[in-house]
Amino acid sequence: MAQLELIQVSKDFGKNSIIHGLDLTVEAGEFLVVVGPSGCGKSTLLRIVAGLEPVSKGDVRIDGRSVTKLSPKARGIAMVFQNYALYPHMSVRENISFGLKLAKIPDDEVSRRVTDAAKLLHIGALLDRKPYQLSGGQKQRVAMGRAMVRQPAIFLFDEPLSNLDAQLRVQMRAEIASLHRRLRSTIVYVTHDQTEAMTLADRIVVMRAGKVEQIAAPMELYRNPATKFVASFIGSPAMNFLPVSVFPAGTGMHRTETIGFRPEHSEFIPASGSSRLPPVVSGEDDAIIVGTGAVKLVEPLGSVTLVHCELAPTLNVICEYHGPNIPVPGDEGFLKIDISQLLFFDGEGLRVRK
Amino acid sequence: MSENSADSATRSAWLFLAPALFLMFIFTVAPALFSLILSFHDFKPFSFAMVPVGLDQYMELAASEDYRASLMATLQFAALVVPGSVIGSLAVAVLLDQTPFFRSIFRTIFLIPVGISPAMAAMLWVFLFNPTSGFLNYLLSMVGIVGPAWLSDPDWAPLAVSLTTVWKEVGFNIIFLMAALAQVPVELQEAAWMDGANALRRFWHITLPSISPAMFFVTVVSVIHAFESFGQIHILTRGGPAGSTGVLVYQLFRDGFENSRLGMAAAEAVILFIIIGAVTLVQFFVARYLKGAPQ
Ligand SMILES: Nc1ncnc2c1ncn2[C@@H]1O[C@H](COP(=O)(O)OP(=O)(O)OP(=O)(O)O)[C@@H](O)[C@H]1O
Ligand SMILES: [Mg+2]
Repeated sequence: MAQLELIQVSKDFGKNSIIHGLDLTVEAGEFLVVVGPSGCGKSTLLRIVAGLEPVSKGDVRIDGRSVTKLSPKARGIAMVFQNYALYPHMSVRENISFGLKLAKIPDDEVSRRVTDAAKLLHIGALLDRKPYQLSGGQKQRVAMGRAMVRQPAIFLFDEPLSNLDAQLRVQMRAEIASLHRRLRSTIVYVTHDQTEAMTLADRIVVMRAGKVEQIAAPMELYRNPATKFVASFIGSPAMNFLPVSVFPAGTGMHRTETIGFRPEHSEFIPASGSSRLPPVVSGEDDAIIVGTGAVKLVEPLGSVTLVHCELAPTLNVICEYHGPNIPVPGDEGFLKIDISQLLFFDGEGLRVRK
Repeated sequence: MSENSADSATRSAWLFLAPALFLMFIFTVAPALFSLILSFHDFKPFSFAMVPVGLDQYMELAASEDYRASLMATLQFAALVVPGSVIGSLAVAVLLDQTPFFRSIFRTIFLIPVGISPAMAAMLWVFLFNPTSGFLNYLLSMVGIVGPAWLSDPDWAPLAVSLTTVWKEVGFNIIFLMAALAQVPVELQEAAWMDGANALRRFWHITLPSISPAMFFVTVVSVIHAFESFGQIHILTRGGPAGSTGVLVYQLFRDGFENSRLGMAAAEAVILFIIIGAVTLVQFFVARYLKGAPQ
């Protein structure tokens, strides 16, 4: 377990600047999850840390020591690749012990470590198989075993579960979490999966176009996004945004151009009978009623029903519905929003705070 | 119903294949069978008479010192040419694989010798090998070495002939090896790099096993080509000096077309066929064993 620092790291591929002056500190033993849209440079970032890709500018430090010029093997880092990258001509045992053999670790120590890792990952029975004889989940475990036995200071994962089916993903997610609890190693983990990010991370980094948009603990990021981008990226279904007219000057809110609210902080209220008037909100000072909308799509998820509403052409929101009679597309209704949960953003997408 | 349509599909497949099969029978299978029959006969070229002699010609070959020497010359030739062209092409392919910029231009350059006829290629090398005015010895003289009489010294002629053959064949192998190298997943190399393998180790533990099917193919083809080489030997040395390059095919040519013993030549062809078949089979077994064995 080690602390990892990136200081003003930049990366260009030819004329394309992919990462621009990125600063990041991963504390020793921390589980840091990196999320961001496709092509924002997550894999490039991992490869820079691994030493597979040289930086164009900046410094990578492990426990305060610069490793920028060191080769991957000298950095004490292990990486688990998205498509496993198991050596196809070697058995599982040889795959796992390859790095140890190269490091000239004595045979009995090698076999002890392989046995330990195999036990931890439940692959003891597979040690003599070749990779083509394994299922996706088993390959993933072997890839993790190969990383583990080297006892690296830092683990890097690049979308390790994205090739697995949903059920296996849930299971492996739990296992990675328990592995981290046990090994207490520093982990940098790239994923596209919201749930993975929220459940695994000590902190989440949201990247956008080669920059860090925000770093925070999962719930903090969820409740308190610093920008509209983060607000829209974290949470599923995504946050709703409505354009608003200018707030009065002097309130501190006059820069606000967009308000945002999450589906769970809004409720669909069906128009009762022929009434096109909004119901009176009484005794609920912190709720407002916003215009009328037509139901476009209904998603009953069991515990809650999601209603997609069209407030105006091209202005759609998703809100929850808790009542007994589930609406159908075409129904009209009102949108009730919890004011205390409203977020305000300016024209640049930055949060405006009261 | 489906059986029927499968049947008719098979039938029309045979129909489409028939012309090709017919030509193949006329030009490949029939002559081969005829050679086999011929090898048990003494063929008189002027009277076109075929006198059955049973295994006599095979016995004569088995007892012949010349034939044994020819076999040795062939093995020596193959021992020089096969490693030369396989390892040489592997080295070039790996180098080109690392330098994308030069890749296609050099691939083309190395492919040129494959395209020209063995006779043309050999003529070129006759000039290069010339002991007094040849370019090779000129180069050697620049570093203070007096070059050998490449083609007339029995110690050097096998090497000269092999060199020409390797030069002519590497391009073919390079194509296949480069294609195989391009298929090796980059991630495997990177994973091995992270596991602490340096470039040499990565080549040995990752690249080589990954391209082993192509290596196998290239080796088998090189072995077959080595046993079948004729044109360049005919032009460069005519099997000489002192029989040092008188490989089996050259011996066959001489018996058949200079000594007019077509029956004998046919027997030699059959033996050559058996040798090549046996060597190829052994290679297949070795490859299967290596694949099955724990690394
Ligand atoms: N070797 C390379 N040469 C040139 N451009 C590259 C190279 N590797 C990556 N890029 C570019 O850098 C950008 C970031 O790529 P990267 O793989 O880091 O994205 P990512 O965030 O991992 O995306 P994804 O979520 O799709 O995996 C992309 O625009 C990509 O085209
Ligand atoms: Mg990626």
